[in-house]
Amino acid sequence: MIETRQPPECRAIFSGIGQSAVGRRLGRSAIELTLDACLSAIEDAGLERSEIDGIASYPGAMAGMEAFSGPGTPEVQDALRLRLNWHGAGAEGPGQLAAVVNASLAIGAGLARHVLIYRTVTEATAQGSGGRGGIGLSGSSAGRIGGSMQWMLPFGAYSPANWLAMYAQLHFHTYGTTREQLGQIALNGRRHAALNPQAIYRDPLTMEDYLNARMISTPLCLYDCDVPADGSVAVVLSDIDTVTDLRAHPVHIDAVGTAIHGRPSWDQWDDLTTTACRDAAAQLWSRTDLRPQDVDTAQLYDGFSFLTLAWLEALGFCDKGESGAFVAGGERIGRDGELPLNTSGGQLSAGRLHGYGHLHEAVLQLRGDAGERQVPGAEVAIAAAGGGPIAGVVLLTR
Amino acid sequence: MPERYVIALVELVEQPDIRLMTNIVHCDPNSVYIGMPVQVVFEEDEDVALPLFEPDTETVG
Repeated sequence: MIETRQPPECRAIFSGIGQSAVGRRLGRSAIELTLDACLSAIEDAGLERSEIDGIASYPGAMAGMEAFSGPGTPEVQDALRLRLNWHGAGAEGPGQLAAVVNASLAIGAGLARHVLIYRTVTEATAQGSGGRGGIGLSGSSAGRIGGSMQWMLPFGAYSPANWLAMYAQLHFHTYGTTREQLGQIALNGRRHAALNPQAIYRDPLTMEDYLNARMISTPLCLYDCDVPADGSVAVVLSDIDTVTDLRAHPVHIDAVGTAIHGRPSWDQWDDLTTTACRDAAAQLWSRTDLRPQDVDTAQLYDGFSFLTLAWLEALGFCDKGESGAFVAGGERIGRDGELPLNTSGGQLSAGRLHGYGHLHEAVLQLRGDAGERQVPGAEVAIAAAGGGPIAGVVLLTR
Repeated sequence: MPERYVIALVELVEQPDIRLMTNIVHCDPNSVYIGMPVQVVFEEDEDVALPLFEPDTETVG
């Protein structure tokens, strides 16, 4: 008899979620926001702090880039006085959701039972006082620069906005994608943000507003770029054996995708009409019997609008090159559409919580707790994060 | 950097599996298109020579 072996990530369930205040220039410290989110997630799970025995974050503390990285796990462990059986954080891995993947595997391996995961940013405050340099990503540098940036900075290619713009241009050129189509990602986010009391920008955005907005890096305009925010999201992942101790309706991890088969850079990637999301998505579907058509709502990374198109294609919601046509008009990706997309407003309107706003929303939708913006009867959700050479994806079920 | 400039990925004819992130210079930014033949020009900066690219007028038919 052949025994069906479940992937180890399936042992993990989302038992609690929490979010701090989210906004522009809140003027509060990163650790304060983090603790708000963490305590709220622990309480939501119906757990005591003493029961948390694991902690994970992305990317962990980064010297000189604190507004981007948030506090490291030792600082949070100490503030909460946690006794940990497993802990880990790092910037290298399958994108922002690496912390979730790692935590699910720690649970699957029996190293921990309740893992607290958080992601904190104070980029709005930092950029308010120090411009782009305030988050440690400055174009100016006293000495010689090393690493991958040495091949990009000298040419005025300062940020992912510039690097991704070239991918978007190629997509426009190869498949006939238009700004009006890309703009639907921004407009869809804004429509959904109107129903999310915690979203930063909730006023209506028209196609005219979008098309007339300042160009940042052609073809990406201001509304194609996400909104720097201050805020923190925390979730608790728990071993499925503890489900009877938990307060909220559990949300299961069905599968994760972490693969990267191309060369890990923006410029040497093998096929510039796709990104690392191609490999992560293919692996995800190889670990589950569910199919794209089973997904009731998709929370796909929108650090830039074009990344959402890339994920739609990689995950097989439409054919390669067809994402522009797929979102055209916006009806299909609306709350009442075939694939309700980025129902919190996403990072373009709700704020740049770096993948974790999307994760929070996926769990909320599957619990049926999304209020006015609830997708009726949602049972399968997908949360994907990353762009260019980093990508990770989690499939969740009720 | 000027207010408007062109960032491009240039594939080398001599070694197609290598791309350079670079600038396209000495032309109107609006005239640049994907697939445009270009040739290297080096911009000297102290001991560094930055490879930039300009339209290859001989190959452009």
